[in-house]
Amino acid sequence: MAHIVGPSSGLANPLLLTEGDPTERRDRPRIVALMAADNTWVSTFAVTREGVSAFCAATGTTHPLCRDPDAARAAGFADVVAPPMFAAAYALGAVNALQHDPAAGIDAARAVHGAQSFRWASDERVVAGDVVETAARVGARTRRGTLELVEILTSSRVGERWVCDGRWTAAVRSEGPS
Amino acid sequence: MSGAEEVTRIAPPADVGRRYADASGDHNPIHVDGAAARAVGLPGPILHGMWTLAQAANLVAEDPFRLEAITVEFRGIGLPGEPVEVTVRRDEDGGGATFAAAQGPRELLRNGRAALRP
Repeated sequence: MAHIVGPSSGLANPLLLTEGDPTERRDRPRIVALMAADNTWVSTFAVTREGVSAFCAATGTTHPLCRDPDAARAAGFADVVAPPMFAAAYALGAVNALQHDPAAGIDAARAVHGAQSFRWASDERVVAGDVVETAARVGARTRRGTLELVEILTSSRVGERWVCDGRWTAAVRSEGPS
Repeated sequence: MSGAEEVTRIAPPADVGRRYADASGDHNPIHVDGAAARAVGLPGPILHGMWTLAQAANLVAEDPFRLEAITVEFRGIGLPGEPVEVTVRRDEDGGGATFAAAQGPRELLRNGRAALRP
């Protein structure tokens, strides 16, 4: 379960946000700015074995590191390892907190999920027992016909270790009869 | 440069909306509640786009830990009672793939692109 903490009034350890094409190959995120406390929504997500199992069962992910605690331990992990697409779960809390805060300026009732990108650290490995912290902010807003495309940018980490950036694009219909 | 298209048909499991909602925390009622879906003009509960994306990710990366990045656009609505056809075209150098997904004539995912680590 995600526990919403944001919108934040001050992060003890500001997360690093990156910009650019998330599919561009590079090992390290380029640091754009230390995130200000303002206009940032954060969540923490406690990863559990049951949560990883449920996600793998729902999505059909069968890798032994994700499904078998003994295989994970044999590979040197403390418990099962979440598949990278589990970012859709561990980062969602911050996205939801942002989207449902009127201060972010996104009309959630008129929004659909238009596009998605993730980029993972080469040592992404999120393990049951980890706590993932995610920060979200609003990125570019562009108009396409009657839609406004609003990017929500997330950066997730476990402790001091960056694990994943996300770009969640909301497509928001213009005001008018729905 | 890219290789041949691989098309895989995936039947969403029974109760996929509820299961993915519980597993991901995305509890938007349009994925689980027929009345809520119809109230916003949908024919019934619709697939989570992220569930469909996870299917494509599974096919692109047999070893999920090779995934370096993924990007996609969500298009039409996916219906949980119909199979999803995922089309993957792998880079010849093994460094990634492009992908899309559809249900018959309805596009669900387009302009999908994944990068894989060696």
